[in-house]
Amino acid sequence: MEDTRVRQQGMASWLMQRVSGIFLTYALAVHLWTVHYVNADRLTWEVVAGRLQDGAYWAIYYSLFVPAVVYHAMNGLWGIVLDYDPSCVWRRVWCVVLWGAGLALVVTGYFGLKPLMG
Amino acid sequence: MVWHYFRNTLLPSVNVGTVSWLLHRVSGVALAIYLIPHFLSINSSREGPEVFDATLAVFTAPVYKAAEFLLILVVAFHAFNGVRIIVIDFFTLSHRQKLLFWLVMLACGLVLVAASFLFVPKILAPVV
Repeated sequence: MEDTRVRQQGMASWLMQRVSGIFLTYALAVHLWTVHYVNADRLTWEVVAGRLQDGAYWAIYYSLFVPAVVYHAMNGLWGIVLDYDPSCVWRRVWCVVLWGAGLALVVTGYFGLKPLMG
Repeated sequence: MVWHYFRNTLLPSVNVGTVSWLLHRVSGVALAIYLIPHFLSINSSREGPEVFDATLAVFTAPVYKAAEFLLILVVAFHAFNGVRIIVIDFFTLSHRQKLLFWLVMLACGLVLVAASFLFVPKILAPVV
C-alpha cells in the first residue's frame, strides 16, 4: 500500500515535470522575447507596469509562470536529491528545504509583481 | 591518480548521452539558483518606481549583458534538451537520441546567432 502510494507520487512528479517543462518552454520564450527584444533598453517601471496592466493576458501569464518555474526548479532539485538515494532523514530535510525555498520564492515573486500590476 | 582516472575511466565513458545528461543537470541547477537573485531584484518594486528603475539600470552594464547572453544560451539548451527528453519518453525515440541531441545543438546555435545580434553590441559598447 505504502509502496504504491510512493510510486504514484514519483509518477506524478515525473509527469508534472514534463507538463510544467512544456509550459515553461512557451512562457520563457515569451519572457525572454519581451524583456530582451520588445522592451529592450527601456525596462523601466513605466514600461513594465504599463504592460502588466494592459489586459488580462499578463496577469494570467504571470500567475501561471511564477508557480510553474518555481515548481519545475524545486521538483528538478528533488529529482537530483533522489538520484543520490538519501536516507529517510535526509530525504525529509531536503523535502522541507525545497518546500520552504519554493514557497519563499512564490511569495517573493507575487509581492514583487503586485505593485507593478497596480 | 586523477589523470589516470580521467584517462581510463572518465574519458572513455564520455558520449552524447552522458554529456547531454550532465549539461541538463548543471544548467538546471544553475537556473534554479538564478531564480533567487532574479526574484529578489524584481521584488525591489515594493520600494517604489525609483528604486525599481535604479535596480534594473544596474543590469544594463556590459558585464550583466554578457551574463544575460550566457543565461539565454543556458535557458535555450535546457529548454530544447528538455523537449528532447520528453520526445524520447513519449514517442519511444531513444534509438534516435543522438540525432535529437545534435538537433538540440543546432537549435542552440540558431539562438546563439540570433541573440548575438542583440547582445554583442551591448557587451562591446564601452570598447567600440
